[in-house]
Amino acid sequence: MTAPPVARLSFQGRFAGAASRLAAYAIDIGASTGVFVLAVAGGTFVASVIVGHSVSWSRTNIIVEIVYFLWLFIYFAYSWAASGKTFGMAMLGVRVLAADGADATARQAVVRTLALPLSFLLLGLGFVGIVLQRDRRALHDLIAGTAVIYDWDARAARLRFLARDKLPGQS
Amino acid sequence: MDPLNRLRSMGKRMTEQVEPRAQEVAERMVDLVIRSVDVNALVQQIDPEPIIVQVDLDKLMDRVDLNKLVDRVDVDKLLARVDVDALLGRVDIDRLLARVDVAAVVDRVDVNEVAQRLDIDALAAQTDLGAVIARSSGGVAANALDVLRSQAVGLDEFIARWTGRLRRRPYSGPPGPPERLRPAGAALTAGPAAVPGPAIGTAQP
Repeated sequence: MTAPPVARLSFQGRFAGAASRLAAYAIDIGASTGVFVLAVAGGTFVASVIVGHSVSWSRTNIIVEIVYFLWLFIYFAYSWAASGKTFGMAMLGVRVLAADGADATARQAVVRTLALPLSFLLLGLGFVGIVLQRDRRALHDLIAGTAVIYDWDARAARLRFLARDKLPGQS
Repeated sequence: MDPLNRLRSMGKRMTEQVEPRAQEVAERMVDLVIRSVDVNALVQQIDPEPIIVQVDLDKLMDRVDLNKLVDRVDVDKLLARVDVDALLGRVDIDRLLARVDVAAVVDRVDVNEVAQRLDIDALAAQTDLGAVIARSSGGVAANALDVLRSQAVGLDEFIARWTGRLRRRPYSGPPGPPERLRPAGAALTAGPAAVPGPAIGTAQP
């Protein structure tokens, strides 16, 4: 297969688009919620064993609700502060940085996490900037002074793609 | 009549008759002498050494116009007579290479420029280097991620292109990078040409 000239280009370091970010966010919500549900199920089982009767914790419980949001806060804030990317972002190959390209600070990670719901609460208008703004920054990015870039090495991916044909038994 | 004049005219008449005779005799004698001389023997008797010693070669060379001399040489004709194969056969390549300063030659090579001229895609696709890359970094998960990311980028570009059309602003790729990730002096610009599709073979984030 002949590589088209455009395939030689890499977008690494450029501002990430809406689809990649939305997909990353969806994976994050799925993963974090899945982990939380498993944790709640495990905790329920342990509590039932300890107290000797059935304990029922569900998402309708206000305490569970608070713990869930606290968990989401830790999940996002810690991930962004530690490496600039959550699990979903790592899968999609995008990364949070300070707007000038430096690593995001812990403060920026916390502010971004707290401002994220605001983009939803404004009927999703907070995300319009990703599509319309020159540097593709959402409302929570503007508040926290952050930006999201493509971080994966597409060149390496392309080489892997080309190289697969060389493996024995493959064509 | 002057008796001297009579004498002069008589002498003149005699001279006119004798002169051609004398010339004939002289020529005949010279001819006989030349024939009798052995020039080779004469030359052999000459010692050239004292003559050569007296010749000032520098002065002689100064009088020779070398440019004029070279202009008269037909170089093509000269080269045509040179047997290049025989000449090369006499060259000791090992000795020649031993005299080459390889380090100095390598120092003059711009390795970065050479690397940029390499067609890495062709190397990966057509050589065992590709198999090495695939073995070292392959795997179902990595391949799945490549596809997922490529498709997401393809969708990003699709959205960006259509947004550009609706806003009547030409789109030429994702903007960036941020200030600190930019090469020195570069401005925030739109990216390279838009990615044509989501397949791994084409989409490049």
